[in-house]
Amino acid sequence: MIRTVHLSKVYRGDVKALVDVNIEIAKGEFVFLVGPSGSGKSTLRKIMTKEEEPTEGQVYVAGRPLDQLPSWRVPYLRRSLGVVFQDFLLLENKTVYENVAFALEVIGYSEPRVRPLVLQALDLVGLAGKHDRLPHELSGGEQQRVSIARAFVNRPQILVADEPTGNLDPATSLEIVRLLDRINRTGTTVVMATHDHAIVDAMRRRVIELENGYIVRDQDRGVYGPRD
Amino acid sequence: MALKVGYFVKEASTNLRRNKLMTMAAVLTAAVSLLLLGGVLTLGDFVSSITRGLENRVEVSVFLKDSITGPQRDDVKSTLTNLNVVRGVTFVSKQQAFDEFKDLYRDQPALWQNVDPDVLPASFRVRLDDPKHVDAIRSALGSNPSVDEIVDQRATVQRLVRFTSLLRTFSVVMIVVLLGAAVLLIANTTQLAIYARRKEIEIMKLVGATNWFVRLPFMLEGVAAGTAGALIALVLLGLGKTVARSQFPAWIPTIALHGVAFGQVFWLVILGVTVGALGSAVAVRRFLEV
Repeated sequence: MIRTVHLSKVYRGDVKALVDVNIEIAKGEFVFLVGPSGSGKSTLRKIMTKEEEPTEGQVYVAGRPLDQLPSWRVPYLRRSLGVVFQDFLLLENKTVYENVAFALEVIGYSEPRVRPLVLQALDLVGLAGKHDRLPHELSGGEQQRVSIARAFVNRPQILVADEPTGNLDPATSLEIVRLLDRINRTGTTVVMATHDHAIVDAMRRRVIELENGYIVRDQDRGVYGPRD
Repeated sequence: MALKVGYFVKEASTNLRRNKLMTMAAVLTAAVSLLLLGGVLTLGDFVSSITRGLENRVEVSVFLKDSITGPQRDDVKSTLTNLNVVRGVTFVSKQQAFDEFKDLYRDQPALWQNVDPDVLPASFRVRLDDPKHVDAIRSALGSNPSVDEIVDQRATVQRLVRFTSLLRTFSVVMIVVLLGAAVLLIANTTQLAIYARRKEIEIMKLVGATNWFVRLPFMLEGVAAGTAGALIALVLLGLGKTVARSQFPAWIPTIALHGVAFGQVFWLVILGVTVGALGSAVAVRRFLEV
C-alpha cells in the first residue's frame, strides 16, 4: 500500500529530514511511526500526500509512483489518503455535521450522497448525537473524532494520523487509538505518527522508529522502545 | 467534476459582502477605467463622423488674379468642369466675396467699413467627389497664369484629426494604467477573502479538492466585481452621451452619441470580466501551491 525505496529528503540548509528510508506497509496494516520531534515523521507524511517532494528515492502509494503523478492528479491521491492532525483543523463556524460534509462537498459529491455517508462516519466515531454542535462546544477528544470522521468519510484506502493524540489526555488518547484500530479493522491501512509511549505499548502493533531521519527499528508487535 | 453552481455563487457572494470597502474600490476602479474606454471609443466614432462631414463640406477655392480677362476666366472654368473629380463649380465675384466677408464679421464693422470691395479676389469654389482629389486641381491649374492661389481646408481638418488621435493615444495609456489598477485592486480584495478562509482552503486541499474547485468561487467574485464595474461604466456612458448630445449645434452629426453601441457594450463587458478573472486568478495562485 505504501512503499519507499531509498527515500531521502534534504531541506534547504542541508537539513537531512530522511536518509535512505525503505519501508513497505501492506494493505490493511496498522503501523506506528515513532521517534522524537524532528526525527522525520512529519516529513514522511508530507511526502506521502505530495506536500513535499523527495530529494532522492521513490515513493509508491497504492501502487502508484508519486514522482510520476502529475500535479493535477494530486487531489485524487489525497482522496485515497485521509489525514488527521494533532490540532484537529476543524472549521469553527461549521457544525460537526457540516465539517464532515464539507470534505465530501468540496470533492464534488452531490447532496443526496453526502448525507448517508456523513451520518455513517459520525456513527462510527461515536458522535451520533452531536451533529449540530460547534467544535468549541466539544471536548478535545470529540473534536479529534470529528476530524477522524472527516478523514474517513469518503472511505480512503489509507488513513494517516500525524500525532493525533498530542493534545489529548492519556485516557482520551487511548479512546482515539481504539477508534483508529476500529477503522483499521474495516480494511483501511492506518499509519500513526506518535511519540506517545503508553499507546504504542498498549496496542502492540508494528513499530517503525525514526531517529534523525534514519530508520533505526522496524518491529512487528513492538513497543515504543527500550529507552526511558 | 460535478459543478455545484449554488455552492460557488454562495461562496462568492459571501466573500463580496465580507470585504465591502475593498470590493467597492475594485468595482469603481474598473468602472472608471471602462468608462474612460467607452468615452474614447465614442470619441473615436464621433470624431470620425465629424471629420467625414467636414471633409465633405470642404471646398477648394481657386483664387483668380485681378488681371484676369473674361475668356481666361471661362478657360479656367471649363478646365475645372472637365475634371472628372469635380462635382460642381461656383463663381464668387469680388462683390460677392466682400458681401460674405461683411456677413462673417457683421459684429465687427471696423474690419470692413474702410475696406474697398475690390481688394478681395474673385474665385471659383469647387466641390469635389472626394476631398483627397485636390491635387488633381493643383496639377491642372497650378501653372495657369490667371490663377493666383489654390486653397483647400484639408490642413485644418487634418490638424483636428491629429489632435484627436493624440488624445486617443493618451487616453489609451490612461486606460491601460487604470485597468492595471483595477486588476491589482481586485487581486487585493480576493487576497483578503482568501486570507479570511485560508483554513478552509487548507482543508479543501487536504481532502483532495481540485485547484479549480478552490479557485472558482474567488474567480467568480472577481468576475462579478469586473462585470459590475462594466455595467456602471455603461450606464454612465449612456448618460454622458445624452448630456453631450444636447451640447452640440444641430449641424454637427451626433449619430455617434445616440445610445450605446453594441460594440461598446461588448468590449466593456469583456474587459470587465477579464480584469476581474485576471485579478482574482493572480491572487489565488499563491495559495494553491501545496
